[in-house]
Amino acid sequence: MKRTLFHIFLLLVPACLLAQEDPQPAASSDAASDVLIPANFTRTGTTISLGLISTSFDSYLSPNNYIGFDLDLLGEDWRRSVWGDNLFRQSIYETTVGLTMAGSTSSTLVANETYTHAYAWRVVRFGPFDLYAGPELQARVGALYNTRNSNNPVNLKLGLHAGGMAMAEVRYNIGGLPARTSYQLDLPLLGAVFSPPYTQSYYAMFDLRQLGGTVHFVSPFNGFSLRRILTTDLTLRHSILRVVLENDSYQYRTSTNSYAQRTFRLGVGFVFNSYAIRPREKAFDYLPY
Amino acid sequence: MPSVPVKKLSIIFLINISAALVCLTSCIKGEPYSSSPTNNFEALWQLLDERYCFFDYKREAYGLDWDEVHERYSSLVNDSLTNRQLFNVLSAMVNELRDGHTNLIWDFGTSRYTGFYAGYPRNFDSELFSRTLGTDYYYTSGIYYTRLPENIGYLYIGSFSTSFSQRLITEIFRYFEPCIGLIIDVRDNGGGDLTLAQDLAARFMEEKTLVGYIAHKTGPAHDAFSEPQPVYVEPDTTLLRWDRPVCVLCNRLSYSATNDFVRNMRLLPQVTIVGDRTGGGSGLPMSTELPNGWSLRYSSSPMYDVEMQHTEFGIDPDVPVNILAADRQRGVDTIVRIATLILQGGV
Repeated sequence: MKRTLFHIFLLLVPACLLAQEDPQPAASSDAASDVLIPANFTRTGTTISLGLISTSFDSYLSPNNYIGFDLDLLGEDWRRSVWGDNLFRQSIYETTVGLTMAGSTSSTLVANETYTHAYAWRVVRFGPFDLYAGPELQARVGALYNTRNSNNPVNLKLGLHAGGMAMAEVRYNIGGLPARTSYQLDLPLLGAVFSPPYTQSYYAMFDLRQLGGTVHFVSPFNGFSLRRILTTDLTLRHSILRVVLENDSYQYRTSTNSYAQRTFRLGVGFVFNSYAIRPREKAFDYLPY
Repeated sequence: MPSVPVKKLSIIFLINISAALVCLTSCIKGEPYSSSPTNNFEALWQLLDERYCFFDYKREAYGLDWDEVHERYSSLVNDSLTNRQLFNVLSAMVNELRDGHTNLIWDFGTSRYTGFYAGYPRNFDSELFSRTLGTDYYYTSGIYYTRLPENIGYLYIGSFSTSFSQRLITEIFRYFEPCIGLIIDVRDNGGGDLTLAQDLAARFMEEKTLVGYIAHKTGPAHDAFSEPQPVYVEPDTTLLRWDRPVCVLCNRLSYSATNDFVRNMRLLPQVTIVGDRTGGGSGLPMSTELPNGWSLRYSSSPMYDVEMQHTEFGIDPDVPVNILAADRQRGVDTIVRIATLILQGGV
């Protein structure tokens, strides 16, 4: 196991160095069976952010507006798809834990996991400037725990949305070192969420299995959600530093309950650029031992 | 070289679209924090008006008029009230609902409605309870149990908030194997975990049994309810079942989940309910908050019996019994004595 990990590490180090150069298009697939091909560029970024929750509101738990902070781990995986040089695949994983307060005595613990999977088509390429757009699927799983509610302290948050993404990207140099800045919009358009009908108890929903009416259709008409991410990647010697400014606004109103969470986050992390080697099993043939 | 105007225009376009979309959004948000007594009074009244589940029933039962309550109490509230004064006024308003499940919770006090037991015979006495148990008894997980001299099992459950296992119940049934009957004493049991109470009732059932119905509010109107859904209790057939005669002892403090337990047990042919009327509390409670952070617990989902009747104000026993003064002087619990006679076939 350790040997395998070491081999992978050796493969990734030169790839990181290659990332400082402008990626070249993939070589012909005819030769792919027996040579190393710097195809399928992959950019992996991980950032940790501190966020300010300006609104946390769940009418099932409380009519009050809560504010607080959260800690967020954001992971992005951006790679060229197998269907063409202008089609990219993006996955964003976001894990958040937070604490919000209303007044001096009420508090709510917030935990969310958001996964977004998008296909981005490069619609404009003009020198250092790229514009991408495409469809995306977003899944959200989470929970709110109100520390003062005795009988209904928790509300689960489950949502699945289809929508679109758009991203503008510009590449430039700072002190001769490459850098990039992107501004991305994630826009869930249609989806379904789990939300208890008005005051229905979790006892009725799960112990008695009366789950009818707990899944609601959502669209911009009953809750406009939008995530905006401003990302800057700066090269520092052989590493790439990432700075992220994120604004996540997620909300919906069902026929009987409402939910909203709006957060502003600032985070830092690192980016790792690499190239997949195809076929994978040939990669070890090129190791020096 | 790239054309700067095109790049700039594209970025400006994206930012503008984004800003426009955000501006079009009607932001959903909650109420801001407020310590104003009048704001909190209005919020409390409205929260209950929209969410409390027994308005129509209580209008019929004792003439509750929630609008009239607003008029009467609004004259008592102004922004110069201290927190304690406000708490006292709001507590009195909440108690107009005559509901032990509806409480206002402040850091320094909790409102309680006591009308379902205050002014009635207590029908439970710790001294008599000790005498019933004697010295040879077992205690675990909030449960006391022993075999009475009349060869009857005696099981006291003081709360359904303390969890106990099905394995414990099986072991208790085995201990009671020589007994001709069983007394389950749930007097002074204020409730707790509804599922625990139902699981205990299931140990006396032969098959899946319809025990009642439950509905929930679907909107703010007083009569906005979902279609009542049946509630079944299903026994685990792999567990030991008690099928000999049972007496369930209750009093006015048998409340909430215990009221539900009595509702379920009285459906069984081998069970006799003995003692006083239960305290009721058939609304499944939920919690919410006032703008000043005070918690409010309220009945949100009505639970009915199998005949679609409310049990909010309690369940009458099959054999009404009060503790007699003469028995008390002799150190005898009248309710246990009568239950023993029933199980011996003497009543």
